[in-house]
Amino acid sequence: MGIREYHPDGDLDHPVTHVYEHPDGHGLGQHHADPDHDPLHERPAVPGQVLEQMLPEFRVTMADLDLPHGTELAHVATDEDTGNLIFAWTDSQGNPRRTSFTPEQSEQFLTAQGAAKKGSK
Amino acid sequence: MTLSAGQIMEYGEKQALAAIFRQAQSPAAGNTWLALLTAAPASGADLTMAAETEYAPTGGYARQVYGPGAPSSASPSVISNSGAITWGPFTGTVSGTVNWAMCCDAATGTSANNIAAYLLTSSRTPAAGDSLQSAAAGFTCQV
Repeated sequence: MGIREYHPDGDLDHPVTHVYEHPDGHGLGQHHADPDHDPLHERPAVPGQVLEQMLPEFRVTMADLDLPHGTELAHVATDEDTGNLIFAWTDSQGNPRRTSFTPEQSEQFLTAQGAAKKGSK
Repeated sequence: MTLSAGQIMEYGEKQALAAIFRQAQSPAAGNTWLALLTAAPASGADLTMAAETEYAPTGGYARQVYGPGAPSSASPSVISNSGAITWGPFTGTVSGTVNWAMCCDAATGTSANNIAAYLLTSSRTPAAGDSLQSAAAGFTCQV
């Protein structure tokens, strides 16, 4: 199944090209978060929101917005200025997202779909 | 976050006027993109993203598809993003305060034409690992 993105002529379905895989199962944001700061699941997505006063079903934290381990991605562009690779994906809320990876991050965390299939045999 | 109504930039104004007065064909249907800025546009006459200071952490950031619904049947007619828009998670060196957004016509590059500018009602300074989310209809624009 492809990665769906809005287009006024009809949504686009990008083919999956890569999978985000972290050796410890961490999300991309979780991996890069400063350990001196609160963990992502304690950071409210809406600044000023007091998590303890929210019903669990209405709590949205930075962990909910993270790119989790195992996410399927579609390489859709390369930033001409930075050289970063841009990938489309769908987050846990069902929303289309675009996130860039440096070439080094891409090498470290992304498995090309063809390579993933080879490894699974 | 709630954002103020967008200001259509010179490029967008010219496109709109030329289209509705049938001086020229409208651009073909396609996506437009929302970029985050760390400084205010100099003026409505900024033609391209080359004139703007775009948010630039090491990784994670990318312009997002604006994805508007149809303009409302009212006067003034309003257009806005139909779903939530989320940038990030931001990685590497993450610094800078986001206080404006710019709708433009390309996913990357400084040659993208500026369509509309949005002043955020409150600025945001994301930390590494954070994402930045706007609710549906957070970026509205009217003529």
